[in-house]
Amino acid sequence: MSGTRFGARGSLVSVHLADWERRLLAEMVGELRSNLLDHTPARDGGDGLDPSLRRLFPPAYLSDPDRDAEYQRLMRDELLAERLDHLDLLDGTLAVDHLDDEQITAWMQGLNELRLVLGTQLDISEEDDPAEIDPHDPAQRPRLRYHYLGGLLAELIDATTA
Amino acid sequence: MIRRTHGVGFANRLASRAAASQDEPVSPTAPTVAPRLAQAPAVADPEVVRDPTNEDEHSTDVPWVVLVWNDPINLMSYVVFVFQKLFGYSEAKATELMLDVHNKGRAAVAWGSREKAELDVFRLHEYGLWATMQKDN
Repeated sequence: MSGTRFGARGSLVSVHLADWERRLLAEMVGELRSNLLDHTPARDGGDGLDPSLRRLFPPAYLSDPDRDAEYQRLMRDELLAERLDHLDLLDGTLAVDHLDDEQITAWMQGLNELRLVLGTQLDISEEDDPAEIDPHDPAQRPRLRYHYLGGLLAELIDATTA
Repeated sequence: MIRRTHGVGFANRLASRAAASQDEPVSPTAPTVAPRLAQAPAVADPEVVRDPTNEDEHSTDVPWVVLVWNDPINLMSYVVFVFQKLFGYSEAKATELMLDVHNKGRAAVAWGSREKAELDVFRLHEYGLWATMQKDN
């Protein structure tokens, strides 16, 4: 990736996405949003959570189930609300040319969440090589999307820290 | 700037829990009703929502540690970015911690009272990092 899809412009980041990229992101954000609303049981400590969403709602206490249940009871709704908020902000700014700090954060968190869900569904490994993917194989589409999102997120981080 | 509307709700939830269970000290000024989204502080430092009374009482013993665990999905540059943004670490320190996560499987990234650790875990979860907390033995 050449890193030209985002550019540093003072405190803002400029966005240079093709129309197909904006459409793809809108589609993926919409799917994740629906998935979150349909498959995130509130305050139940993880039971019944859609497996692909598990990485979005991790335990806070690994070896203390009582404290973790209390933490989830207090915080899961809030974490879900935060995720929906920044997915909405990402979705609402897909057409803009510049992002401010709040929007950059929402984009990063949203892009990363899409990767977390896809990577969990694919059971991806750190060594997964996008060069091995046949781009014409429809079955490979999620894997292509996963690596696409990684490249996009890396470019946004580069532009933000430039 | 970090979107911090959760901070107010979080602090109030913790205050409500402490008031109910009496197992943690609560500042007399801590509000017990959570006006979520209504009172986001106007400064960038999330520390402001922490209970100063509680911080003082626990400043001599720091019993909780926040750990971040390795995972195959989060980008190294993203983890470095999040450590810098949430904890104010230098790029060098954030990179060192990220490499610890990557090479050793986990790294301790923050310490403090139980309330502070829970807030830090929440913020890390918000960024999609795999964070947990435990007593710092």
